[in-house]
Formats: sequence, C-alpha cells, structure tokens
Amino acid sequence: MVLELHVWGPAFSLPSIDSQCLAATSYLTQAVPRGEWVLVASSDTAISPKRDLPALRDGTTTIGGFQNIIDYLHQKSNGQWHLDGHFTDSKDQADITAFSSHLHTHALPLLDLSLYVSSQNYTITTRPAYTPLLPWPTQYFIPPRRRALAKSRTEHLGLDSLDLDTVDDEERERRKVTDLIPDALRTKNKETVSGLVKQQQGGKRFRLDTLVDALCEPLSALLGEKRYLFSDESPSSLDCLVLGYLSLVLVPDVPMKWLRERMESKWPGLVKFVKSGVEECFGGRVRVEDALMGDDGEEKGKKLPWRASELRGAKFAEKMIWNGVLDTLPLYRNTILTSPSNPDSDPVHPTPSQSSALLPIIITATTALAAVAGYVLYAGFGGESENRRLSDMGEAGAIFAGLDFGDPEPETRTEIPKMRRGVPVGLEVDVAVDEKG
Amino acid sequence: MPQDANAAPEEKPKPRAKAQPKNSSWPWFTTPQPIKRLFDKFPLETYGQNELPQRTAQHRDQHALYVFTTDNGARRGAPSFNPGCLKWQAYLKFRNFSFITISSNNHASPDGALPFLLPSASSSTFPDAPPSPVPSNRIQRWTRDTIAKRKGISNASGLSRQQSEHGAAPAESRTSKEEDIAPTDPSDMRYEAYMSLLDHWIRNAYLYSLYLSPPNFDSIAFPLYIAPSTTNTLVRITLSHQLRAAAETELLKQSARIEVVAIHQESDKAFAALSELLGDDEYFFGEKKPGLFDASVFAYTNLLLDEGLDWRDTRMADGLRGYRNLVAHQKRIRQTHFR
Repeated sequence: MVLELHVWGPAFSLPSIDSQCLAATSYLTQAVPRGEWVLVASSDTAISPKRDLPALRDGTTTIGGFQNIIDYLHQKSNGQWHLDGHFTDSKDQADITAFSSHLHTHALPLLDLSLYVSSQNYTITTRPAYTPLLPWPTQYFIPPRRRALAKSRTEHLGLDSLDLDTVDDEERERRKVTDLIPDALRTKNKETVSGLVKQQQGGKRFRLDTLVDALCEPLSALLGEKRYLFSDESPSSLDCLVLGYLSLVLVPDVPMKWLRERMESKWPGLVKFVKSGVEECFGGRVRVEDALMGDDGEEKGKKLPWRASELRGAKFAEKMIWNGVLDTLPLYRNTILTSPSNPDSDPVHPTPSQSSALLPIIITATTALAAVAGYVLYAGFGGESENRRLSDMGEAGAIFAGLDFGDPEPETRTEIPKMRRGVPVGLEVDVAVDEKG
Repeated sequence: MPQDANAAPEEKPKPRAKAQPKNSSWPWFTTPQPIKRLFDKFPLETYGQNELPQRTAQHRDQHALYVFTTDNGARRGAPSFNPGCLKWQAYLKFRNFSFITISSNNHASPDGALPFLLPSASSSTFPDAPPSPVPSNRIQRWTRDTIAKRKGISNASGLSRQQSEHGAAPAESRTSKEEDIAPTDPSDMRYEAYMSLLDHWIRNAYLYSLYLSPPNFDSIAFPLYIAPSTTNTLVRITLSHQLRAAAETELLKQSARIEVVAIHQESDKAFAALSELLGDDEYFFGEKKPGLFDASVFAYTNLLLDEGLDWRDTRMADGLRGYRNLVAHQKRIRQTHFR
C-alpha cells in the first residue's frame, strides 16, 4: 500500500501553502524512498482525526500532524525511515525538541503577521493563492477562517487592528482633524504593520526586526557553517521544520516585504540554507496545475510524486461545508480527542459516506437548516468580522466615532453604496443656509 | 458632464454646498458649526487624580507582589499556585529582594493579569507620588534597574564612608553581597529555544491537565480559583465554564483538535530535553545561582510535584518524576528559597 501524504495545496511556487505541510513533504522526500509514497494536494482537513493537515493515510489508518507522522513512519519501517535516527547523542535529541518548539513559538507568529494579518499581503498575495486550491464556494470560508486564527495567535504581540492597515494612514489622520472629537478627547491612532514598516528609520520597525532576530539568532548559531543543522552529512526532522517555516518567509512575493528583507540583510547563512533546501527537496518551482492534475507518469526531473485528489468539485465543497456547520454547532462539536483515532472510529463527525446518507434529512428539513446556516454565518462560520472603524465611514461615521461607544458593531460592506445612493441632497443646502445666517 | 465620463457614478457625488471641507470623501454632510463649537468645549473640567483608598496603604514600606494565593499562604509567603505568579515570585527571591505577597485576582491588576509588583513607597523617584505598579513583563527590567540604582547609591555612600572611617556597617556588607548577584541572564543560543519549551509544550500540557482534565479541575482548579471568589452556585458554574472555555480556546489556537495523547507526549519530550540541558548541574546553564530560567522551570515543576495539591490525573507529573535531576532541582529551590 502506497502512503498518501495529504497537504494543503501548492502556492507561491512551493508545494504547499502551509508550513507544517511543507515540513512533512520535505521529511518524506528525504526519509521515504520514492515510489513508496505519493503527495496529494487535497486541502481536505476532514480526512485527519486532528482536522488539520498534513495527514498521512496508510490504507485505513490516518495519522495527523507532523510529529505523529514522523513517529508513525519510524514505527512502520522499524527505524529505517527515521531521519533523527542518525543522531544518537541525547544532547542532539534534546536540541531537536527544543528548537522545534522554538520554531513554533517564534516563526509561526511572524508568518501569521506577514501572510495573514497584514491586510495588503493577505488580499494581494495569500487570498488569491488559495483560490485555485479550493472549490467554490469554500474559498470564501476557509482563507478568512485561517486569517482569524492567525489574528488570534498574534494578539499578544500588541499590534492591534492590523487588518486596517490598507487604509492610508494620512487619509485617516486628515479625517480625524475634520471629525468631531474635541482636542482634549482625541486618542492616538493604533499602530498597524504598514505603519511600522513605513517608518523606516523610526524605532518602531525595530519591534518587528527584534522578533525576526529572536527567531534567527539561535538557529543561525546552531547552523554555523554546516550544511545541515546538526551535521554535514544528514538532515534531521528539525531541518525539515526550518525549511517548512522559513521557505514561506523567503519565497512568497508579498507587497510588504519587511520579513524577507530583514532575513536577507541580517541572516544570509539561513537564507542560503533555505534556498538550497527548497531546491533539494521540492525541486524548484512547483506549478499548481502539476499538483492538482497529478503526475503518475514519473516524469523526469520532477521531484515530488503528485497524485490528483479524488475528491474535487461539488462533493468536496459539500463535505467541507458540512464539517464547517457541524463544527460551529454548540453542543455538537467535539474538540478534545482523548485517544488517537482515525476518522472511521470518530463517532462525532460523519465520514463522507455518512454525510451522503444524511442528505435526505437535510432536504426534508430545509427550513431548519436555513436557520442553522443563518446562525452559523452570523456566529462566525466566516470566522472573521470586518473590524472596521466608524471613522472610516466618512464624516457621518466620524460623528459616531467621536462619541466612542467602544467597538463598533461589525458592518457589512454592502451597506456603503446603498447609503451613498440614498444621499439626501436637500440636507446640505439647509446646513449651508444655516451657517450663513 | 463630459469630464466625468470615465469616472464611476458613485465615486463622483456632485458637490454642492460651499461650506464643506474640500477633501472630505463624504461631501453631502457637514457638521453644523454651532454643534461643533459646543462639543469643542468638552471636557468642561478635568478633575485631578483620586487619592488611593486608605486601606491600600498598609504595607507601603515593603515591596508587594500581588499573586494568586490563599490568605494563609500570603501570610507565610508560600509559593503561589499559579505558574505565572510563581515564576516571578521565585525570581524576586533569587535576586534577594524582600517582599510580601498579597492574595489577589486578575481584576486588581492594571494590565488585567497577575502578578504585578507594587514597589515600596520609599523606592519611588518622586517622594510625593506613589510608585506605579510594575506588570509582570517589566519585573525583570525593574529588578535590574533597582539593583543598579542601589549599587550606585551604595558605591557613592561607600566612598564617602571610606573617606571618613573604615568601619563597615553590617548593613553595608549585605548590600555589597547583593551586588555580586547582578542579574546576568545568559545569552546562550539555547536559552531562547529551551525557554520556548516551557512557554509552549509544557504550558499546553499544564493548561490541559489543570482545566480540561475533569478530575483535576474539580480537585484543584475549582477550590483554588473559583471557590474563594464567590459562594453563589450559579456564579461558580459560570466562572468554571468561562475558565475552561478560555483554556480550550487557548489550546485550539495551536491545532484544530486537542489531542490529549499528543499533548502528554510533547510535555514528556520537553521534560526530557530540559533534563538533558540541566545535566548534573545544580542550576540551568551551569550557573551558581538560580536565574530566570530556573524560576520558569520551578514554576511548573513545583506545582506538579506539590504534595499539597490533589492531582487526580497525574499523567503530567508522572512524566516529570521520571527525570530525577528535575525533581532534585525543584527540591533544591524549594528548600533554599521557600522555607
């Protein structure tokens, strides 16, 4: 039985859009002989008991998560397919553990900030990258949900209201002057990522740079002049993780490049390490079409054994939405897994066949489902509320912003044009007369 | 209008009134001047700061650390039952500060989280103004500054005393002893990496063990965090629910599902790595005196190994007991600094 590694689909010329999936891909290319495994860009989280990718499918068993996959491969091959087996020194093993956790705590927030939280990078680079990977209409749900998660993970860094940074700062400043807030009650603008990046010489960008340095300094010290992190000869699972995280730092071409610029100027050794790793493990640029169409013909020069995902189109969307709905139902969702299970033994979430069996019920209860869907859309199935300020709504909003009721209710974008069209033209004439008189 | 031919109709509302600010993107509505003038007068009067209530001024001659602890524990200076608080409590003890602990909760803190430190009245730079509280993320800097300041003063006074007479008072010998323990937290490349083990894997496992593992929640978290704050059953149920939901949300940020077996495996690996790092040394990184890293490790190990706490789901503690040097490290600190 050939092992199937299911990952989030390719993006930015890398084999996956997700760091853990990239790490798992690079691990399998280096540990498991070609022909024993295939790579499936399914973007289907439901196959994994952890409801997250990467997931390794071996017949009926499914293993979720990078670390679990490593352990499973180790067991299955009696220690043959185990990259860390070369490092018998317990000091090295401890380092692998510690630096893996270091990457998770330091690299993940930076990637979150760069690819998801910063509005410009998200709308111009990340969100479009998801579009070819996901069937309609899931590309409207999944990227915002991942963005909301990224925001919640970076909250503690104190860079509030980052999603607002597309609004030109000067524009907002000018509006503030014209709005109604008395001088004594005006508050300072919150900081945004682009604001920090714009102040190139200011001490503010320093904060982002410190985060990058805190990530790179120990890694760079560990790498030294070696080819891999622990030796010149063989890579470890840590090499794969570093590659997974840092390739997403260096490869995507984002409009706000602060992360990449800092890496390239300050940590050239790591950049070189990642670039050669990308070449070695992923074989250069990956095209989305190759990955989605599959590559059973073993073309020469192709590094990755892609296989087309069986689940495409409507069926996939149905499953994704079904799982999404179940996850938002209060009493129904089960977030804690007490035993390692594969989806077949998961009693709570119906497997695809079960969900098709349930379809007639849905059809008979259309109204009930509509109510549920309404609730779900309202209560955050989209995952992200457009947290905009009233002052961004022009002067009318500025008046209410001046009263400062705390956070404004999330407003939908569609309301704006409506209001514009319904301009009460007579009103302003009255006002002008009043002022003269 | 020919000049508007290529502009979208919505983007070109016809400007009409003369009294508008030119650049406004919403030119159809301006604020009436009288109202604008009226609101410009606000606030009508700004009052000065309120004085602190009388009852806060009890122990102003000593530094006070506000932590989660029981009233009895506060009096004895017992270790806090919250790892975040215990870390800084231990750190301040390592740096030889004398302070009292005060039982408190998150609502009391200026930044919404315990611990925080209220320096003694005498340590304030301005004698009249009360010293401002130090939140936990600044405590390290505060200790460094305070020690540096004290060092500067004792150097100056030492000089003047040397000029007058040579007899050194016992108090002075004590300050010079404190100087020797100037905070030198090592800049080893492994420091950050191993610190992240505590902030990530061990913290996750701890959150799970304490809040989400039902027997432990009932036997530890409930009596320590919820029972003291209220006797009302309904409020207790709500608080328990909130606490558990907060822990669950925190863990779900890391992965879409909380995998209990994986969480315990990871904490086991993390303890193995820490044990390897400690080796046969007394304190981490071969230091002679314990530092912030030791405080961070002790914060978790002490709680897990504390016999006063009724751990029912002991998987995490059992994992820890397998590493003898970590257990010895906890005992050593407990005996030296928390007698």
